[in-house]
Amino acid sequence: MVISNEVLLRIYRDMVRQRALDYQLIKGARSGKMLPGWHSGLGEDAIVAPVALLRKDDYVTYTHRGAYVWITRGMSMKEIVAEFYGKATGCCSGYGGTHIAKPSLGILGRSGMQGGHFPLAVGMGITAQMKGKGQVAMMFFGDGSGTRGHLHEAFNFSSVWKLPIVWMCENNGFSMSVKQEKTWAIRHIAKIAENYAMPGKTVDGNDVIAVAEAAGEFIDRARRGEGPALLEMITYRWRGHMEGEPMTYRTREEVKEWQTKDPMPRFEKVLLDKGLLTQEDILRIQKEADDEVAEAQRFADESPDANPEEVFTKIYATSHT
Amino acid sequence: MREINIAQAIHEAIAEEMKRDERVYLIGEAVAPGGVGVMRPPEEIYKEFGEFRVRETGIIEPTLAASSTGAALSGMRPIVDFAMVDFMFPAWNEIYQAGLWRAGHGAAEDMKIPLVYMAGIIGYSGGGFSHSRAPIGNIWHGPGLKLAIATTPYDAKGLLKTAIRDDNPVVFLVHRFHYPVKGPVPEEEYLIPFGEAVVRKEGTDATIVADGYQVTLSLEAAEDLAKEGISVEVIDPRTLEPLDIDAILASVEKTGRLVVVDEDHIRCGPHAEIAFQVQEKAFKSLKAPMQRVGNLNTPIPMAKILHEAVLPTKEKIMAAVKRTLV
Repeated sequence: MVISNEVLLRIYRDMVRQRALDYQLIKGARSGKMLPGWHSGLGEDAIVAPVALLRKDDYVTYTHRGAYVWITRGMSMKEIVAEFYGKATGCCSGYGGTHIAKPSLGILGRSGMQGGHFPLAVGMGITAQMKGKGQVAMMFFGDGSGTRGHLHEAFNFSSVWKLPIVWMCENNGFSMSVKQEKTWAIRHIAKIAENYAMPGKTVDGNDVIAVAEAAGEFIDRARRGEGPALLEMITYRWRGHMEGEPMTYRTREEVKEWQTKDPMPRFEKVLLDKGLLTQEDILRIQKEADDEVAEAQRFADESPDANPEEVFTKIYATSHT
Repeated sequence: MREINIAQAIHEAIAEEMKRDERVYLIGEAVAPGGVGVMRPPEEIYKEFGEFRVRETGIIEPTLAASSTGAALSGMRPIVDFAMVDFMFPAWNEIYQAGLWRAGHGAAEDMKIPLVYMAGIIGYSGGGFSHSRAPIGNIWHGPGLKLAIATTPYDAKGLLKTAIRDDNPVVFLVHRFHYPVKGPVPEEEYLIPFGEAVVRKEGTDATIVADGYQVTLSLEAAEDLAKEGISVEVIDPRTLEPLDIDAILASVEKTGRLVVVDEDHIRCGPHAEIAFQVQEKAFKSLKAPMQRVGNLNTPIPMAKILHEAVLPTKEKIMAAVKRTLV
């Protein structure tokens, strides 16, 4: 599948924006002023691409490294940063923190029980199938949460029922601090797809074009009603599982080696070669992203704190049909 | 008025609500015709609505619970048939999660999770430690869930229809001994609001609050106690969340004595919660220490003589009432 130039540029811009946000949240977590820890996704930025290919009415679940999903789906940085600082203006009024939700953008929340999204995505697939409007659900998970039994239930029944779901494995090689070789009997997780009678593919997760083209095919396939598929993106996270952990389970050399495979300059080169981008554009896009982050931080800092009076009124919806 | 049993009342509620709202669907292990599911609907429902709206699954309790949360968040209104309440245990995380989800995300954009987790309590069945439990306290403990327990066909239909129309996750339970019990159910549509207890029997000497099958046992106990000159009032709260504490307080203020009967473990069970609320709000009305009758904190053994040793019985309820009269 060929990705249009317009979409490629949108992917690039959102990659820059979500990375700027990621750095800001790292700063916040390290300053101690931001309450929840931050699970940085630096190094896994190419994951913006599949999200950029979704329709506005599609559903997407994200892992605890969700910046690429929130930004690409069109959330404002203000409501995200404010949420992390426990402000009333956050997208979840300071209740969620890393559990970000924006239902109108198909972001229906996050389960903190890793792997909890497998069955949630099945439900979104059921909705899409029953509504019959060609919607799809895209579910992101890591090699870590992929060892949960929920994967089996969800993969099996999504295939039995031919649900329009694209399963997206961001294989960064670690389940928190535990290397994949200690948690999986195989290296390439996409291999298991064939046991569920669905297509599976492993791609270089730091190659934006490869990720986008493979995801695009699986999205179209799901939209046509041909059922789920599994795309595995081999990638690596530069930061720790969360900010502040000592990362004693791997060497600096290993991290440095992966940083040379940074998806950003690789993608920039593609766009420069295609003539879609100039060095001036790169500087301008970076400046815009930095300004946007600074403005979001200012907004969060100046926003009122979350309101404790609402704690008891948010539990139940008061409505019924 | 015509009489139908609880199973039929449940099927009517499901069929009517599926006709009323195309977003309502039924999902569960063996819900389709020929299935072994205890509450499975009659073949006509399957024929009318098809396999998408009566979705038969395998053994996937976590996925039953959480897929329904995902579907509800994206606009559908699932009814999940867990068959027996013991099967909620493998899905505990996901059931709790349904209750936590809305407030956990700050009720972002007023998100709604309209779903029903339906199951039978199958205590006293000889199912042993994993097929006889009544985890009513566990369910009530989870924030964000509503909990209805129907004991008559009239209540089953009215409460289930309310549950399906509610924009929150509702757990709806019926004890298996009640499935075949017949009772009057009007042909015309009606709903039963949550949070309204009913007095099943009026009395003046002591109050019993009981749910599920314990209502039946408590009424039998009350009948025998009446022969001994003891007048017992039996209250069926119908929903524990929300709880009609006012109805319970009004009765305790009249009788001065309370026995709480529930099939769950007494340790941290529903008994303790109800009794605490009563002492907090009507302490001065109490003439004797409150009593509770429930599972005596043991795994449930298979043999009748053994499980009757740990589960509530008519005799144990009668003895508990008498303890309040000393």
